[in-house]
Amino acid sequence: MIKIENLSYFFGNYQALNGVSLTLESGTITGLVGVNGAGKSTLLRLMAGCYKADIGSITYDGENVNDENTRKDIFFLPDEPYYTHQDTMKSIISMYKHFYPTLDLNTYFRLVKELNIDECKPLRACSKGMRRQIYIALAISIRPKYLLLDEAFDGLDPATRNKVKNELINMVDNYDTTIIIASHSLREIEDFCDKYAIVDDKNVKSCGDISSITEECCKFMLAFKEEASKELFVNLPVVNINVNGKFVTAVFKGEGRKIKERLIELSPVVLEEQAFDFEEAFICEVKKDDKL
Amino acid sequence: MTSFKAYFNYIFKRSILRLLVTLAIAVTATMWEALLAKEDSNMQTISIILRLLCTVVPPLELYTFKNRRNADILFSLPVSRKKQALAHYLNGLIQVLVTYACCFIAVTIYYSMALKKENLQYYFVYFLLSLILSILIYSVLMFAFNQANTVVDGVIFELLIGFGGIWVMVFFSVLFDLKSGFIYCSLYAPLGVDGLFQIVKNNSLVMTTGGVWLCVAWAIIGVACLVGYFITFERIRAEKIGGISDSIFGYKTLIPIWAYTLLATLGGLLCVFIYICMLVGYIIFRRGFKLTKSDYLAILCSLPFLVLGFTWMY
Repeated sequence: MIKIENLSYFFGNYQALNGVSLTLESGTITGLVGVNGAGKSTLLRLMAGCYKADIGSITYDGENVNDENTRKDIFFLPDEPYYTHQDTMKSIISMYKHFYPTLDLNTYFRLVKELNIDECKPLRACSKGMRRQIYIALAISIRPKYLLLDEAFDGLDPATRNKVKNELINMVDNYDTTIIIASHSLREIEDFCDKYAIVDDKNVKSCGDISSITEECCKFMLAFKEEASKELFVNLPVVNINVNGKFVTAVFKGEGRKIKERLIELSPVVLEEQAFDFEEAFICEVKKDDKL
Repeated sequence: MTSFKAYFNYIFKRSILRLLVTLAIAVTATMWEALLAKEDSNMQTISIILRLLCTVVPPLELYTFKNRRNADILFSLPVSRKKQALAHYLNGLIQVLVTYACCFIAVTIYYSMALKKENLQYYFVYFLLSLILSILIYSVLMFAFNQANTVVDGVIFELLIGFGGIWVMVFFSVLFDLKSGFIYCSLYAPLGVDGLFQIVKNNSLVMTTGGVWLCVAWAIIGVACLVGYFITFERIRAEKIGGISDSIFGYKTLIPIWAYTLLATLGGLLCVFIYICMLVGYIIFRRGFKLTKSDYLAILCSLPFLVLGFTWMY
């Protein structure tokens, strides 16, 4: 279990994170989402031990992240991983096998074999997607207890994405690995993760089950005879609303059936419930402060 | 395998090729000088090699930590920063000492066999003393390089600290009317032509009170830098890597020290040039023309030293 308590981090005078508290259960896949500059990568780097928390603590099964024994169970794959000018897909193992005794070379070579890359080709000569695949293969082969991925699917083609997702899901099933993935691709997160944490305004604004956030709200499209206004919905639990002349699209907190009953009282010409996905839930969450 | 051993093995294996290349170049250069000299040598080449090693090895050891992408992985490895710092320090030291020892052994064998020189004790005294000095210089320069957030800044810090002692000591010598001791002022000077080797060779290793104090001072500086290296390595802010090198032991202190001491000692003649250099220093530091209040304040505080320089001159 990962426990983050009252975590704050400063970049000089600028506060990047402010009192973040979050608990992540073992064997889960958590999607870390947020707008650009929200603090996702900073949080991930703090969780990996690259940065040291100014205030607060991060513990893995009760052990501090700065303890090197704890870090044996953690593997962090940043958005642009480290390799030297001469490194090849074969040579990078030399570093990791020193620190991660669990590194399974058979798995690594099985995964990279599918890429059809010359073993001696320098990584710098590989495309971004190829490099990413090599490092994901490395991460999977290490089989860490905690896997932290920053924009892991960036640069991967759809077929490879699916293959990687399946491998990662197998890790969770077979080794009880906990995966935390920071991404801007919300469809990917919804597809792949069972938990989410929205980082916004230097803190974790919301977290929980992906299924629950989409079930908590409902979305309706309405059309009126006359021009509509936001004031019509003042007494309803509106999360997000978009009024365009006679047409209104709104997200409400609560059960769809009950909200529908209340919306009928407004006498719309058209009333239609629409699918509400994680991407919309995220947009609602970060726009909460501007609503109505 | 412990995490330190694992990390050290990894970086050592990666630097073997570097060690062999350095070794080949250094031994060739040393023997070239010995063969040309035919007679006795003042160990000039070997001392230059030692100074170069002490300067070049810290960037080679620590450059991976001056790239943010690398730092992400290196700092997330299951090895503490203290152990990483120690591993790089020892690996670099091995590079310096092994290369130097091989050069020294080669040249000593040549002198004893080809030139049939028998009285070579002073070579060994010089070797031992220069080893101590090289550890001191290496420690100071590892500390200096570690203060920077980029490789370029690190090399600049090394040079400013390596040569900076001259001007500080000249300043104090003028201030207190000291006549001797300049030889030990620059970090590199004791290994120079008129330095340790001549003293040992001429059997004039007699310590004056001033000399003892200088040795004590340098030993304190060396140990302080070694401790400082470990403390500052532990406190590296990974997000600052690649950014402005704003360490208190970097530009913030080095620019004023250089400028003030130069102004006080040479200011009368070269004050305009020194001020231009100071300004350029701050522009390099800030990576732009937008200087901060503290930079302007530092420039303003140089005025008393300029006056002092003119007073001493006229």
